[in-house]
Amino acid sequence: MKKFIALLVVFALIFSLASVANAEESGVLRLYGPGLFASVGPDGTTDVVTGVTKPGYNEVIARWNELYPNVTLQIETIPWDNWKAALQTAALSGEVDIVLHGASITAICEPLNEYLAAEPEVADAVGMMAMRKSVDIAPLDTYVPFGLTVTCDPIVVCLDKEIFEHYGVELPDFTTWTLADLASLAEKLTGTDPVTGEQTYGISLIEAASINKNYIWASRAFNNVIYEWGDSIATTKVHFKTEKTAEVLNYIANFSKYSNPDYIEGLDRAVTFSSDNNVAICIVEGAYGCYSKIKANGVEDKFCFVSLPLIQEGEFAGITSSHMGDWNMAICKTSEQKDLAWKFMKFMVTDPVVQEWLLATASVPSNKEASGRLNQYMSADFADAISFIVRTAPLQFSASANNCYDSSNFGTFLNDVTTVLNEMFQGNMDADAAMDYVQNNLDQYLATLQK
Amino acid sequence: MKRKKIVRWVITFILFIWLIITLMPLAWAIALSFDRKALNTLPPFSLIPHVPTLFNYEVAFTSFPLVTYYLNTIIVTACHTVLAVFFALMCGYAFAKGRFVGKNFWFVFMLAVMMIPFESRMVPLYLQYKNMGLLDTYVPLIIGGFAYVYGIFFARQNIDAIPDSLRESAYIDGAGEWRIFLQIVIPLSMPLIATLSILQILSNWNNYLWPLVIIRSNSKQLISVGVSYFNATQDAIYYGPRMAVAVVSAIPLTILFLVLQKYIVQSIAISGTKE
Amino acid sequence: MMQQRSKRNFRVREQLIWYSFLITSILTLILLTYIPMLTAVKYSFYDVSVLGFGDDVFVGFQNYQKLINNSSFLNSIKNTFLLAVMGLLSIPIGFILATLINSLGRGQRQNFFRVAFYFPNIITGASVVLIFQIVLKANNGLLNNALSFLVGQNVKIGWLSDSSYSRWGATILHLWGSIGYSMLINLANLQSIPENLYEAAEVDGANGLQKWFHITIPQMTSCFVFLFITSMIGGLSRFTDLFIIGGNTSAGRPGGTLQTILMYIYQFSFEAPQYGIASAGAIILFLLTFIITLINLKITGFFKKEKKGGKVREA
Repeated sequence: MKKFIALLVVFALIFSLASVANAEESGVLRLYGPGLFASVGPDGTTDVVTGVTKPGYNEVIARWNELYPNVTLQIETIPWDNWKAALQTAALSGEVDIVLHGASITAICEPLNEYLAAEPEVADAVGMMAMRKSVDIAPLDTYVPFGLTVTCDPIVVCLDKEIFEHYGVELPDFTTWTLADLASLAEKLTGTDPVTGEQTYGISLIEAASINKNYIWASRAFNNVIYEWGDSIATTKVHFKTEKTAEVLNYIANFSKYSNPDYIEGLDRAVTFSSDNNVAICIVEGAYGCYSKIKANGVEDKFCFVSLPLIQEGEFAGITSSHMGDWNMAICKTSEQKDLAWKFMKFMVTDPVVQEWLLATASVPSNKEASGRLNQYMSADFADAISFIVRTAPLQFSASANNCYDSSNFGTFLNDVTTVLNEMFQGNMDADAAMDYVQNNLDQYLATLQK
Repeated sequence: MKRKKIVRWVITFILFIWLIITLMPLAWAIALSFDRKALNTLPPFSLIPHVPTLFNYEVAFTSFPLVTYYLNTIIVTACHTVLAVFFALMCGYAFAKGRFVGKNFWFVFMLAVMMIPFESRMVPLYLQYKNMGLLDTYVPLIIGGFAYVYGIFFARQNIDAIPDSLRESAYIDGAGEWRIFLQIVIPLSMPLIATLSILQILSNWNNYLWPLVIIRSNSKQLISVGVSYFNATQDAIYYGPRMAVAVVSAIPLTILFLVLQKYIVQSIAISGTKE
Repeated sequence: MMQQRSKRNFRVREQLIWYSFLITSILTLILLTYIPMLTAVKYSFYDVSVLGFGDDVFVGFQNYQKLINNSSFLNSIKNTFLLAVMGLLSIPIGFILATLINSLGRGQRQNFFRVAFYFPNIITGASVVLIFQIVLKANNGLLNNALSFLVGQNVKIGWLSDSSYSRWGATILHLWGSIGYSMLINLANLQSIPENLYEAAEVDGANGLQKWFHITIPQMTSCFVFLFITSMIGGLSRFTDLFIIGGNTSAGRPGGTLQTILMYIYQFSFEAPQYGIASAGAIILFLLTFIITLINLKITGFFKKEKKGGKVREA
């Protein structure tokens, strides 16, 4: 009942605003970029295998035109391949108002702090924002919002309850479990399944091509702070080569013993979330998409989601180390209708009809109220962990900029971490060599910034 | 004589085995495209589909506007190819037979272009087209055809091999360079034209980054970007449908190659045989 | 006097006619290549991250200095040359293949093999890489299975995932597409060796091996040089397949062993935007390739005044 009233209030608020001012707004609002709009298309898609159907973005356009009848939306989408190159050139063209997923390239986006200060209710409504660092706007130890997160991708751990049962191992309690628990479970559950006699693997980390994402959660769980922020990036010191980093790297690399040998070749799509699954613990991005597959395979009883182990120490000790990936929208710096662009972005994260649409596309809305309703779409075994993460993660807990890992300000850091972790998984590098490799590139990058 | 025949058969046999090994990956890809079992996991190697099906091709044709993309690509490719080949022949002729000031300079001037990485001049080039108001049109994808540098190099090698005596007799008949070019050189250069065309078509067909940034409207997009879209809209890598898309997008090129193979083989050979 | 002028007029006219063949291409190149290229040259002296945004600061040769002192950049140069050199294997293999095909004698059979072996050369794109990722996979990959069968024990080499082997894996993938081309050029040259050279040697009592060593190889030198240079230039601009192998990034995975100069430039153009540094890298790449091209032209004799006609028989 409470929720329903809240919904009504939001509705009423939007309508009262809408009916007064919206008809005056007119023009064409141009959106460009990869992500959700691209993957569902204007009319929706049906996955060829799972049969999962998702509605297209025409529904969003229709809803927008109800509220802003004189503002035409032009959505132009691109695939993920080479998307950064495409976004940079598009911004140069001056013909884009909103860059989809553009917050990663801060140079082309308008910072949102002034908009958010004027309308604080927007920040309150969302569980996450695309936070980056920018010397021009705020000191480096604080965050600057560059994009509104529309949907978030909490990292969840998908457990195969059957494998746990066969080995006689208890499921972990995700509100209390530790890094050590995860490691020991992965070890215990690797081997020959006592019941079926089939080979099982303890763990499957986030896919090998993005193995750096495992570093994101693990470094946060260890609270391995590596940055000593200065007045600018150039004067910032990065201490990557430390004993603690070695601990984190070794912790991740240790999982190679319990992983499917195909994992490292990027052929880890073998985790099918079907009845013949042989991976006990699977760390996945795109929780909702994973759930869709499980549901399509009719094996909801076999699996459940939990969040990643708790952070051991530091500022965030005691909350889950699961971070969230996101799909964001940012105002393009070259846009001439920034206020209108902001209105659309606000609409994407607050409008109730849009939130319904997001849920229907198998996405987790960043809107807290809407993601709280996930349990209407999936059973508690799955929804609880997701809500837990969205609810407890701090606003700036985005994947790409925090005190343990920052992929947007330090050159090739992302690529380098991925490279060395792959090498460690192969057994071609030890932690020392890995740290030297990354530290060396970091130092050389920072040297390029010296004036 | 008999020994010679046996040797010939042995060599044929060796070549045949070698060929089978070479073409194996392709054959497997085709088999996968007809296999219902080739989804997010790969079935064990087999050249006969485990569960034969046309499903993957249905997927390829229904999940994105393949036909529209095909037509767009054909238009762009055809325009670019015609321009590129004709102008390459023109320049090739001048460099092979012409006598004019600065010949070496201009030749090096053109060849040097092959060494400028496209990625590094893409952004300035994009800005130029933006200032001309030509974004989201096919013009930027086509007018590069006015200067097909590799083709110029290639054409020079081939036209060089045409005997001068033909030109001389045309001179005596009072023909100018343009008439000689149009009436003698072009008809004699069919193998060259075939080869340059297929090379052009090939590179246009697979061109990805430039159409991606130039073309905005989805309805104007090309097949290479379309294929990438297709791969992006599925929840996982589905090997079968992916291979089907690959096969479908490679078919026109293969047919073209088989039709023109005699010319292509001949003219590529000419380009590489110089005393 | 009169005559001289008309002769000069004729010269000018002739010049104009020849330039009429070239002018469109020259203008296009100036407009579409050289002007953008000059922009890149300009920005190689500036500190600029994303072109068109923020203040650009002139920094002189700093970008070049940084690059030359950067181990990743030097590494990418090393990778580029290593991969290009390994790619040269297509020459001897193509030569062996051409010799075999040539020994069949002219006819249907030869034509069939010539076309069939050339075919992979026209198949390109992401799907080829996808297939080769499976063929070259460590566990039960086709190649490893074949090797296991040959050596009698289980081979588990991660051809594309283990940095100690990745250059070989990438080379196998490259050779698959390039041997056909090399074979074709080799074959055409083999067939253009005058028969009478062999006949004369036979009269002198030379055996097969001696003929091969004293006639075939020397006659083929220019062909090998041609292939060497075209294949080196192709190798210097290698990008797409390695980009896909690295998971659609320019990091040159595994272990940075497959990062070529072009990928390094791409990385700083778009993935970690530092347009100034990327431009400096592009200029260095340009200079490297330019030198090789000049050598190429020198060797293939373009600058020689006296030209020899191409010499090949109807294939």
